[in-house]
Amino acid sequence: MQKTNERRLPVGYGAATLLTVFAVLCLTVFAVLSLLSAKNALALSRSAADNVRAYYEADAAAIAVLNELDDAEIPFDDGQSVTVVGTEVLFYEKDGERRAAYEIPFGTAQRLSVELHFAGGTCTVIRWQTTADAPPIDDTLGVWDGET
Amino acid sequence: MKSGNTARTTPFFAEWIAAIFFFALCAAICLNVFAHARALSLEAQAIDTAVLAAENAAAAYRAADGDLREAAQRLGASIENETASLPLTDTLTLTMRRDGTLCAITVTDGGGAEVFRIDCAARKGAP
Repeated sequence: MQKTNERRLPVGYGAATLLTVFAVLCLTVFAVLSLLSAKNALALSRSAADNVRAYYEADAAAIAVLNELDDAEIPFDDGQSVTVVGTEVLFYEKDGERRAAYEIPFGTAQRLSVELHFAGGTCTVIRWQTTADAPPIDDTLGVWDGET
Repeated sequence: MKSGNTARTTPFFAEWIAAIFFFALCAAICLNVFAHARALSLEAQAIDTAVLAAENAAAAYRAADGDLREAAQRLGASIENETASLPLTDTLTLTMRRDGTLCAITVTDGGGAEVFRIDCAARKGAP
């Protein structure tokens, strides 16, 4: 009977491969997730910046109209609509006060609504508000209403 | 007999060497991806900071009724030759400059490239 001095290997064959596959898989998944997350964050930041830029462009246009209305003596007629600096301004009377209102759209579905009050040769801002356009109701699909 | 041991350990070490080589290659590629993700994240952070600072500056300009000096004082910015300047971070700088009837509020990075810009208007009659 021969005695063989064979040393057993501490780790079997295939352990290195298994370990490498696991490590590579983890690294790849985390790398892809990081990249996707960063890309989405950048897209969101750019979208927010574009929205703010569009608002201030509309704001500047509204100020230009306001300055023009402050200076010019436009004959007031209830229900009259006049184009001032490329924007349609509606003049009307409410509660005995002379008022004007106009809107400047910006972005995809927003508008800057301005309402002014004229008294004693001065123009006072009553409303300077950002409003969102109501989304259109999609009724192309015949959804059951529960009754018919 | 040593030849038996050698015959068993050679493929064992070869497998480990191949595994380490393959892992190193993959790690190098993934590190590049991580670095790119980090760069995108920093760019998003810079844009967010720039937008907030520009809005703040526009509000100060409007509150000062179009007076650039007063607006700069409110923001803690230095003013020189009708241009107000305020460092935001190590790399971002905000500048306010009269541009006709508007005030150009610009945020630039360390290299002078524009990160964000808005043009703010004030009511007529302001200084």
